[in-house]
Amino acid sequence: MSSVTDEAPTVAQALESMPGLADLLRPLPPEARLTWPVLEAHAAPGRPPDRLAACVIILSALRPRQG
Amino acid sequence: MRVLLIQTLALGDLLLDTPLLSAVQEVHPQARITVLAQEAYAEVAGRHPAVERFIPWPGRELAELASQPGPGAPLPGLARLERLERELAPGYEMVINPCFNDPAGALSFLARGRRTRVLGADLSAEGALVMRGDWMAYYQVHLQGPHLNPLHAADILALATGAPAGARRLVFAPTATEKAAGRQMLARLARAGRPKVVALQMGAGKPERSWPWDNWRELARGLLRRGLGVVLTGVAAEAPAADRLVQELGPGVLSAAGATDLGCLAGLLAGCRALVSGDTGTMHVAAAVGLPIVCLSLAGARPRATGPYRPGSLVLEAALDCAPCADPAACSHHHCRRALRPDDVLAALEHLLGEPYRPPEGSRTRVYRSARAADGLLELSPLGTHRDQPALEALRAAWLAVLAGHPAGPPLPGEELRRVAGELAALANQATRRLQELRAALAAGRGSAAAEMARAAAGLGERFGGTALASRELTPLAIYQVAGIGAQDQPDPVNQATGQARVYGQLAAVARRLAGQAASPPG
Repeated sequence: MSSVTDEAPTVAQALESMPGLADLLRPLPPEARLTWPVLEAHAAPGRPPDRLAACVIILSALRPRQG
Repeated sequence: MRVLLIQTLALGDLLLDTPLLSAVQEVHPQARITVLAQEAYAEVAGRHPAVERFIPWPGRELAELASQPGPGAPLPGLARLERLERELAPGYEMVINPCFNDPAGALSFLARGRRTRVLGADLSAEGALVMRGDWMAYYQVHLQGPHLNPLHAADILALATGAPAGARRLVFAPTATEKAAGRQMLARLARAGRPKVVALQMGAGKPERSWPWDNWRELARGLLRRGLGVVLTGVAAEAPAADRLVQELGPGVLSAAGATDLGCLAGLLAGCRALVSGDTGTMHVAAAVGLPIVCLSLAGARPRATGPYRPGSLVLEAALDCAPCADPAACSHHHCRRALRPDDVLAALEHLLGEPYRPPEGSRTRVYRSARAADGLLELSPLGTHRDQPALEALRAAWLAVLAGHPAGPPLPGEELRRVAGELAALANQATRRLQELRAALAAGRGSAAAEMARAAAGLGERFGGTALASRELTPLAIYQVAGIGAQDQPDPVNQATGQARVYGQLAAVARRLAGQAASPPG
């Protein structure tokens, strides 16, 4: 079954069009898909925060929730 | 010294930070201050003499980017935040962030370096939201337990910078052109024989805090009967309600709703005699201009903390047990909106304009007056009596004694309360000692002793919280315990024990002062 999130770009693909984000996305492996679940797992409490986690916390708070 | 203030909330929140900006400049005259806030309020930062640079907070743009559906949805938002981070150009010696929510903590984290001192929201080493700084922990307490906070937010935030207590003011002045534009608008009322004008701010950002329209109509009628003119302020969305009032009541009423920017609003208010408003941005602009205010404190508004920061103003609150409301979203009756009547407001306005206070018959309203205390901080005192006032005065004195080094004030009224405060002081003393022993055991590598002492300290902490919560007057101590210990979050257990011992030391000192005991530290 295919879903929208399956088609999300990987870190490596994203950096081809946005090389300026290399430093920000460094904590993720190149094959990681840039979906909300992946990013929110990276920013989950209990882990030492980094710049990417801080950005995800901000964006998640501004994002409308479904359900 | 480079300082960054982060304030992404509303106009009133930014205006309440303006004394803090002045305080930073008092303590650090060479400070170069940057403000990150909503673009619509750039003028507030731009007119403050201490502010060097303004960076707009792209909250709306980020919300739109974060809401995009489809593959790769988070990417544009990440790219925008990366750009914002570069604009911020981290390297600040101090980051001040008085908002207490996850994105605020994350913003501080993005803006700070390893050696930056953070005051307010931040992320801990474990990625949890924490409030750094003693006064900021206290500020968080007032957000959670507003009933028994005796200090105004503007003063708390200024004290958080390390500045001494003093008479400060909100900073936002209209230009000469804006004042002239305001006079020109009001000239229409003067030509109609009403040179003395009262401004009414009918709308409120939060719907539950809005007073019913027919109440405003009755109030305006009362003002017209007394020969006063009425000008209606507000944003464009509030213009239809204002226009309706003008249509009903005729040429003594003028609508400026939607017709003023921030500066012109300040200029207009500078030409008025008084403002009647809920806890709104307009109210804080009026306070900055120096206009006396009658504040209608409805629903969850917390007049002691965020009421008019202008001495000589009055605050009206429904005389209901549930006011101020702890959970407006869950309220099914909104009785406070009807309990405040137009004749209550008229009586307060007449008093504000120089008449003796004559409460209307059957009034169900509590009235408070704001004034400067001897130390310059703003105080809200009831006209008449209120059951919490003695406890508030004791709490005010105790916190100022402990966190700002003021002389100790009066103990709590009532033998039973003083007894409970004494019990809390003893528990906090014991917890402090246990934590100090724990720190020593950890530092010496005595693992089993450390575990035992940690359990003992946690047990004492639980007893402290339970005892404090059992007494309404002392609930803020329990909240401070939780908030304060959270703010001391450290990855290193020795530092953690040090931080927790410090919080309990403060609590012991506050409780001793409340109990009227000598202020000596535990032996």
